[in-house]
Amino acid sequence: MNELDIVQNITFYGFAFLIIVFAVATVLAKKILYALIFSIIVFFSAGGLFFSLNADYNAVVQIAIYGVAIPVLILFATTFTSYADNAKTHINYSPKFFIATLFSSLLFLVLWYIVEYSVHLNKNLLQFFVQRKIDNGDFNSVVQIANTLYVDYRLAFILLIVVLFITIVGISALNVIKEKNRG
Amino acid sequence: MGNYIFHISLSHYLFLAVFLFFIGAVGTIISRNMIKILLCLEFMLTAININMIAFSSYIDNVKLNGFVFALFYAAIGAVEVAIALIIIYLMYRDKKSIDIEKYKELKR
Repeated sequence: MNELDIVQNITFYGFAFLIIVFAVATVLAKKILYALIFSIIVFFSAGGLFFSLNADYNAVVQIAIYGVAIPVLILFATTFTSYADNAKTHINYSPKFFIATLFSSLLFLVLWYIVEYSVHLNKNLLQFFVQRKIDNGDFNSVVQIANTLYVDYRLAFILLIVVLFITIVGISALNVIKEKNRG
Repeated sequence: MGNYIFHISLSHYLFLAVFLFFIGAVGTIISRNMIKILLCLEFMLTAININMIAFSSYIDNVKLNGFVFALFYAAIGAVEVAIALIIIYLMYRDKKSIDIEKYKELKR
């Protein structure tokens, strides 16, 4: 094992540990504010993982949108809710909880089996995956993404802008209609 | 076995994404707080993003389609959160609660 492999191992397992531990902590947290802080750590760790995969631009987007913008939005939403209500909505260990966990575990096992099966289906294929990994330092993913985004997916990009615009108008309209109904 | 564990490949990222998706799915089902459900949905989206970027990085490193799709997904995720939050806020104004159990009439 050379130095690059050691760094890659530490990076992957470090971020993977943070993601798993703090995702579980988010689900189990009693206070919604703690859940929000734990989720920020998960999103930042996912951004770090993207950096390790040479997806610099995606990492920045992940940290800017999921790590900062969305938590701020949710933080504002939590300030509208009452503290007592937040405390009451913690997980209760009813039969529904165990049934839900059972079905989710079954889904997890099926997904695990699919990944495990696909990985061991063809050892040569796996070798192909490993060999094709980007490992040169001068590769600029931002330029390549820009080329792909503005040439191959320009229509999808315009459509996304339209969707975002409709969302902004829709949210404003929802509020206005509600206010009129109350008035 | 040791070689498999300490030689990071595509499968490691896929297993991590499966774990994160599982935690998100369980959290979405068992949580009663609507905001926490939203966070767990975001975990599921992040798991999908990890999958797409890992696949793109290991297989398609010429055109990086996966990276572009991950960007689209991030934008759609932001839209989803914005819409979900306004719906939660409108629901909260009616019943003064973010407990999902109190909105059972939506099932009818």
